Amino acid sequence: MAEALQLIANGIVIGSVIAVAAVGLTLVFGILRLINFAHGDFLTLGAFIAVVGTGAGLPLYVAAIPAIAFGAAFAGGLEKILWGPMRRRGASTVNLLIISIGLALVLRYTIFWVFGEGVSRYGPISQRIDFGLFALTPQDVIIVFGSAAALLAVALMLQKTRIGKAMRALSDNRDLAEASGIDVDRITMITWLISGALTAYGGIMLGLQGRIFGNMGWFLLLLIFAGVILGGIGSAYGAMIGSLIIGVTQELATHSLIGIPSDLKTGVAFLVLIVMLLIRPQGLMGRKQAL
Amino acid sequence: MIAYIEGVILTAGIFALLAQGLNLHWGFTGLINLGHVAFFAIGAYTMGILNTEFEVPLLPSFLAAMVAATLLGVVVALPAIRLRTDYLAIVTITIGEIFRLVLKSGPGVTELTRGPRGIRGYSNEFFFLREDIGLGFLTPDQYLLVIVWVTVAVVGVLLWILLKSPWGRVLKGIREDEDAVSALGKNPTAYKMQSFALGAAIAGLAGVFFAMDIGSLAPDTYLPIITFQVWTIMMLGGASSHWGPIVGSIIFWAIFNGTLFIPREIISGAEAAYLRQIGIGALIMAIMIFRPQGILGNREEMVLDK
Amino acid sequence: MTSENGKADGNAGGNAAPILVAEDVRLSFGGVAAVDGASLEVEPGKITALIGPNGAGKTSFFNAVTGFYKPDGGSISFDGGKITGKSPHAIARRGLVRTFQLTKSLARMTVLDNMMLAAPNQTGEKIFTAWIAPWVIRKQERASREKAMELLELFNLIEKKDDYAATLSGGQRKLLELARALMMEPRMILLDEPMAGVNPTLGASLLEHVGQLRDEGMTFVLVEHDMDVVMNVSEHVIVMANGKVITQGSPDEVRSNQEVIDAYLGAGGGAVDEAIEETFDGEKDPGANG
Repeated sequence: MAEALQLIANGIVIGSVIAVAAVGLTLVFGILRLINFAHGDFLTLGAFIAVVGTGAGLPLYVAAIPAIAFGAAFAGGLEKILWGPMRRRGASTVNLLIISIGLALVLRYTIFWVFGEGVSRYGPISQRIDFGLFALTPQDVIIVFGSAAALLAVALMLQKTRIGKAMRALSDNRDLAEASGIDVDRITMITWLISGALTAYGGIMLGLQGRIFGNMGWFLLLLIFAGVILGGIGSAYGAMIGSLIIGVTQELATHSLIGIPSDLKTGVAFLVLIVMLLIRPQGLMGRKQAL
Repeated sequence: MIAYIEGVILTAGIFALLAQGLNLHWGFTGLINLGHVAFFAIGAYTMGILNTEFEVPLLPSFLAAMVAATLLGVVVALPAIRLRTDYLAIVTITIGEIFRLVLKSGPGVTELTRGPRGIRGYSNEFFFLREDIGLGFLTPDQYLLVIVWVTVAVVGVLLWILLKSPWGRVLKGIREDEDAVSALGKNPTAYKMQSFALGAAIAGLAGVFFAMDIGSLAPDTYLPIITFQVWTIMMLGGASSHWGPIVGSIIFWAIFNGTLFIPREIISGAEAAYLRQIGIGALIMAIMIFRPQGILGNREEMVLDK
Repeated sequence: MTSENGKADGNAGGNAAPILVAEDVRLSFGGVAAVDGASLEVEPGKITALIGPNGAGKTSFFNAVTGFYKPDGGSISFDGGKITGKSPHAIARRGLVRTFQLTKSLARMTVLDNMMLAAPNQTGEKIFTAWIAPWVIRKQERASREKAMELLELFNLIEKKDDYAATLSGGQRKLLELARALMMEPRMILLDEPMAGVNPTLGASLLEHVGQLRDEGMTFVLVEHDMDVVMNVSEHVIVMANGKVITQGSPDEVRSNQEVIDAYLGAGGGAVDEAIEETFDGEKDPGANG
């Protein structure tokens, strides 16, 4: 039981990171129907830009600011020079998906080139604190609360602000939203900015776990997909819940009673993804659609 | 220089086979498959395991490799094939990764695959055979190169016949509009399944040759990057073009291995490796942005709206 | 069963067994009933029109009959055999063929290939025959090519035979879809808005073909919004509203039926239904012309 509680706690930590990244991915999907294979590398980018800051002696919460700003600007810039023009030329979903694979490779290996193959850190990881039922490092605690704060902010934005409502409307029915006078280009750009900022933030959260390296985001990408699809693609709340389930599931799979080797735990999460797509492709929170 | 050219042609042949399989999936049937590397891997491992653990002779183990890849194709296709395109992309890449993880650390499986340490010593019989079939004057690499390209040619002709036939017509119909095809009384699922299985079998055969080329099997050879390389090759040559996989593969590997000529004083070996990956990514993007029909693809087909 | 007006147009072959019988068909999406217990019969050798305001469930009903959606309830039989819940290709093979509202011509295939794809029972469509014995299929191919050319000639598409289907005009695509359906030698054809987006000349030619084929014994059901077309070509009209069949009869009877008028007027406020139909069928109707 103690083991299970500890694993659940670990699962919530990683699930929180996945959730932040997953919301960024799913917001863009909701509006553009684009599955962005470069999303994982957006995380890595955010994490490394913050490394530049902490390397220069800044505290992480200060170094995070330019990283998040850069993440937003980068995502927005790509919309401006790549995705927007391609959409206007009538590129198909699959074309865009393949472009995002190319973009992912360019990004990831440019990061490798610039930052090298080694592992960076924001700082030493502190001793675990015993909370009685489980133990977590202070960094883990920051990850959970930091992610929760970001997700809460996104939820409030979606519910309360005009932009958030426009984003939801656009995601529900593009034609209807367009007809009702929503400036689609502007909302698309804002969505990218939010997604970029959120993803860079998620990258920093991921980096807080300890190791920062060129493949970190790519390794997380399929788990992010899993969280997104489990919750129902395009649904921000679904992505939050789906990601937590994915995080906890893969940790629990290594429980001594289940005995999945920890090398294989991501495989378990992937399996959840596949099974979900087969039995309920619309996800936990998605709506059933005809054809 | 000779070594460079031989290396390019050999690798290009193996990847041309992979691209022929993928072209059947995507170019002719419209099925997006980002898990192609799994079929490549199962072919290699089936042959390797049968040969080393069970001492199965060469030809039967080649056939078994193709059969195993076909079966994996069916297993993947059975559930996945009715999913919409973007989901199919995610499911296939995920299955590819699951497969690699299981090869690497699956309980029970690693007794056969030897996990990350991998398998060696399966290729002797294949290379000894070259004396027997009168190719003793060739180096092992040249011999493998000949066998691979003969296979590429045979597969190419077989696919050409098949795709010219009414069977191929149904496939193209599915690529255009699955619902229309079922309204015409054909069962799209059955055809998609056959396409998937056949393309997988070809990839399995490519896996066997690749295993002969590199001489050892290790799970982490079979990363998704291989699938992306095959996609680049197919798109470069031109999807749904018969010569596309061959032309695309030769050009791709000529460029890819060309980074060997960059003097080490300019960039280090590690940097050259990164540069290659960046190059692949940039190439994928450039093709999709500037010439989505590829080198040999039909421009007219591309501009037509569905 | 829909007893009302069953005899209304029973002048020709009134006691011929119906070729299509649908009983209490139900189909819903996310709790919204698109087809809500629709029952109808179609007599062979006639042109039957299926009309109704937006959101009445006509296209959804078509989709249920042809197997593209699995009905949630009810039964459908065609030519004496039950087809409820069968897959679309199985239903098409039995001789019940449909066309689509948004024409599904296979864009990057030539017009001739579009036609030849529809030829039934092709040996060459089996992977091993196609491979091992390409010469076996050559004869069959020649026959279906001839048949395709005949039909293309008839439908004035012969000059386009080597062009990609994507290059055809909207009207030509509708013609191609009908010609392609005929390649299958069907017993009955369901036409989903055959006149939508078709210029008047091609439209007239299409209707002429439909009339001729009917004279040769083909059965048609068409969903159509243009009331002039409905009144001119069809011998029997079935009216749907809110997922149900509300009345049927000869064109004249339906025209003057108060329920029909009410249904169309009532649909004026049916923005919700319209939205549903748009969402689920991807259709954007110009609005009922009734």
